[in-house]
Amino acid sequence: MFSHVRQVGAVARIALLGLPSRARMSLAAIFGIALATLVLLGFLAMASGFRSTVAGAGSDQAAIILAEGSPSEFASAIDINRLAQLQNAPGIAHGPGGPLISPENFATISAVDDQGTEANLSLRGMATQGLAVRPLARLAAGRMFAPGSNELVVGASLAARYRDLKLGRSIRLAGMAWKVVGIFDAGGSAAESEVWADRTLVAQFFGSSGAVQSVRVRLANAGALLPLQRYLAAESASKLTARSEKDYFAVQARNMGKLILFIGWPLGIAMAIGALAGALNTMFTSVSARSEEIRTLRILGYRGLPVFLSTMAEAIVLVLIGCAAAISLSLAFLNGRSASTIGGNLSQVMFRFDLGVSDILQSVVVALVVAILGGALPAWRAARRPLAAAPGA
Amino acid sequence: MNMMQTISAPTPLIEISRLSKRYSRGETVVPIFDDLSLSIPCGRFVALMGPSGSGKTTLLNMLAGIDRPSGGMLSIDGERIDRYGEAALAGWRARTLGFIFQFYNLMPMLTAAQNVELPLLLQPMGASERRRRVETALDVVGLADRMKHRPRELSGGQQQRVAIARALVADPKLILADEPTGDLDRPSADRVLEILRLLSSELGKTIVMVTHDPVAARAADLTLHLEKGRFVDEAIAA
Amino acid sequence: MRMSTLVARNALRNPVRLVLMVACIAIAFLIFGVLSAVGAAFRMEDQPGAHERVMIVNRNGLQQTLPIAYLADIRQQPNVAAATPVRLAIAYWREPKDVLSAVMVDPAIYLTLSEDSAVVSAEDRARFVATRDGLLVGQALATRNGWKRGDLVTLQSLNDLRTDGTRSWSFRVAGIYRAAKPGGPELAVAGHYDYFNDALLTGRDRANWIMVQGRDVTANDAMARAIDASYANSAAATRTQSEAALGRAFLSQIGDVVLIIRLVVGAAFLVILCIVGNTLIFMVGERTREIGVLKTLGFSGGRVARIVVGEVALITLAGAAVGMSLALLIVTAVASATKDMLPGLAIGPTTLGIAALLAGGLVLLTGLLPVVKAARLDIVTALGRV
Repeated sequence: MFSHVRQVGAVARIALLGLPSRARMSLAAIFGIALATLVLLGFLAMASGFRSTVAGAGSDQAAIILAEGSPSEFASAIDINRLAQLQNAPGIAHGPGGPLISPENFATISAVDDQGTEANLSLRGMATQGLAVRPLARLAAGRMFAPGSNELVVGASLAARYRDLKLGRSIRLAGMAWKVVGIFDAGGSAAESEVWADRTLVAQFFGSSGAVQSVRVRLANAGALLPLQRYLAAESASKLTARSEKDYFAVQARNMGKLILFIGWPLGIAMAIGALAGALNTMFTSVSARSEEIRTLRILGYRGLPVFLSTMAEAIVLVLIGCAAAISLSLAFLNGRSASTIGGNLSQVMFRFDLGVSDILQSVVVALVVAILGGALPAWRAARRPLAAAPGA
Repeated sequence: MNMMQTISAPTPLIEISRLSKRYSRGETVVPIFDDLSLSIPCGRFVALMGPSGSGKTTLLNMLAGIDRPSGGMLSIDGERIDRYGEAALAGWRARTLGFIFQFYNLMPMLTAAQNVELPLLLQPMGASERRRRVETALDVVGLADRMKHRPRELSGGQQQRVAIARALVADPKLILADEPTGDLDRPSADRVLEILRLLSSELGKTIVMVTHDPVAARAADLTLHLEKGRFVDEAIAA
Repeated sequence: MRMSTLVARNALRNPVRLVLMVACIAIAFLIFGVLSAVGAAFRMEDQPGAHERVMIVNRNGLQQTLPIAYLADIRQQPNVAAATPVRLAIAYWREPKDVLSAVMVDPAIYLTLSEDSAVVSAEDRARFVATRDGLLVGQALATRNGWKRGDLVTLQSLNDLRTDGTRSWSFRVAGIYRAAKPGGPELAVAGHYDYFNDALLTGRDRANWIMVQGRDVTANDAMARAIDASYANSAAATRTQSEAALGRAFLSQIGDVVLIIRLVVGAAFLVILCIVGNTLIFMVGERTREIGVLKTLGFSGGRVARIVVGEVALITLAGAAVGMSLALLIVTAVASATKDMLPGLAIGPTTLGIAALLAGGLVLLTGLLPVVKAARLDIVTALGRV
């Protein structure tokens, strides 16, 4: 047993010491696995980042009311005549100006970012309590819009990226100038990718009068959601449902994250298969370059198993180097980088790449699978090669 | 077991009886030899000569347990190695055999001492004991001052002497050499042969050396000639 | 024996390595093929009608609407042959989960403008145009829901309300369309804009976009500029562009994701460039002695180079062919699953052309060093090395 361990150690050491002499092929394998891992990590970080950005937009101290059956705010319509009954609904917190209720609707606007590219952004029309109903949002600069005036309050993510949406600037929307009077912060969540304005103005100028899409309410306490849901269910004519903001965004996040992973995993796996072919190639080359060395050791009395394990060790070391390079690169250059894509309202959502421990572990597992598959066959071949060649061969 | 201890036993170390070997090349079967018998006593230095294709390398490979006979009996130091499996053969080689290659086959990235130490890693042996043995073995081949050198820093003759040290460090009973002087100039070859002689006469090692070189063969106690799978020497041909 | 025999024998001498290299290249082409099919579907590259039809949308995005009054103005434009409003309704039949895509249009004009994608019999066409609450239904959807001509179906809208406070519209199935291309999308429904609009409480008299057929396709750009200029200062400014350009604009909104996908394709090709190139250099090194022999026999440097290039080309083309065939299989399978979300997902001639260029470039890049190495090889050194 003891001598077994020493045998493996000695053979592995010889295999690894010989790596520099096979530098080019080894580097090709490292490069392949590094890029494949990088691609996978990129998608995992994107999915995690997107998920946490969207999921982070929800709090369990607020509820969102939608038309029954509507999957999201963007496919929902609530008759404004039904809003009055919500004033008396149970479970809703009260502020100085009455119950904290904000009927809301969406429009999209077009704005130019710092690079000069035009993109569509979400404009949310809300009541002035809109800020107070959102436990996770706070004004970072300026003030809330005044009711009835063409004023905007912009999410910090957008303000950082769009030149027309900085505090104090004006933007032309629906043929009128709108002034940015405030910047709000929502912990870097997807909510920061919105522009807020007075709902009545949004309804009037962006063609969505007569209905709102959702109603956001601040819950009075932790157990307030259930009475609210019961109240809405009892009013069967209104066909409204309430769920906690947190649950709502968690579901949205899951769906969107799934979409990214649905693209990311097949691509990552395809890249990993390419890297596997590269690793196999390198390891077969390595085994053939080491064939004389392996034969010598076997004639000295070394067994096949240490030869097998040493080749595996070489494959694993190569793959881990590549994987480590990819992880460090993505931690250095990808993690925290902000990007944008299109969200549920067909408008831009800013998010940050977020590389979690589980993402890193998943990529390491994929890399190890490549190492084991890429090492096993060449290693088996190395260990099983006949010691004596047929004469004349 | 002390490597300086002389081993001598009355029984033959190598015993071959009615040994045969055939290779199949696709459809055709190529016989290398058929019904070969031979007995080599302990402590003898035997040179094995013969033209290409005579079967001498095949015989050496079988003595080393790296090729298997098709039939017959092959016993070395009382062990029927023709009946051993892969793993048992590897263990047997580690215990009993030292091997010297024509092209030295040293690991280029290891030092001379580390190369010599390789077979000892197969033995249950502490680090200090291994170092002592390596030093002794390198001393025997006259390279005690080259311990830390890597193969490329050594001449061909020196490399072959490191390989001899590697072959004897585990104190094997049998040393096999495959054209050990084939790649060396005359003075280096002579030095190598002198050491092999010494291993046989002073340490009592049994040595079988395949060679093309009649001068090298003269260093041995006995020369066997193999032709078309048969020994042509009167004394042996049975 | 011909030179090609020598090339083929050479390539086949290490079958495992050959398979691995071909696999490497195939993976890169597979990734390229699938991703560019997706890109091309968004750009509607292989749908000629999409380049001719003009869409007028709200400058603020597809979610925004235009006043229906624009339609009459636009029909006055000299280059406009036909124009129809399109109002999107997000509706469902029985289960809110089974959302279907419904467009409310000017029936006669819409049928004419969609002739390249939907086939409707003359009888159905006449009935759909004449029935105010008529519904034109895709064959696949009709089969799935068991709808027949003459059936009364009630659709529930998710994002629109009626003046009567409800959200349900009843339609009579007036006609059934088939996709012009086999396997094309057949899950949509179309109704009359006027019928839908008359009952609307929310967003009444507005359309999501206006679809226009120009008289002269070459005058479309000028027409687009004229339309956009006339609404530049209105509450609803317009953006007029071809259907294909609209798809492209949508793709660019996905933004960084597209960039990331391009990077992935780039990475895949970089990996194979590196792996295959290295292996080829290694292979030439391994064959040093044989190349020396060939040169001794009188093969010129150029001829030796051609043998090596031939082998590189053989491997690359095999990989490209395998990869693109796999991509074709996968895209065909995915396309039938997503034909209603993303119609036109296919590997078209453009993608195949780029793949051929890529393969050529790959042969040049991976082959360059090994070929130079082989051609320059000195006979004495080649043979001296044993």
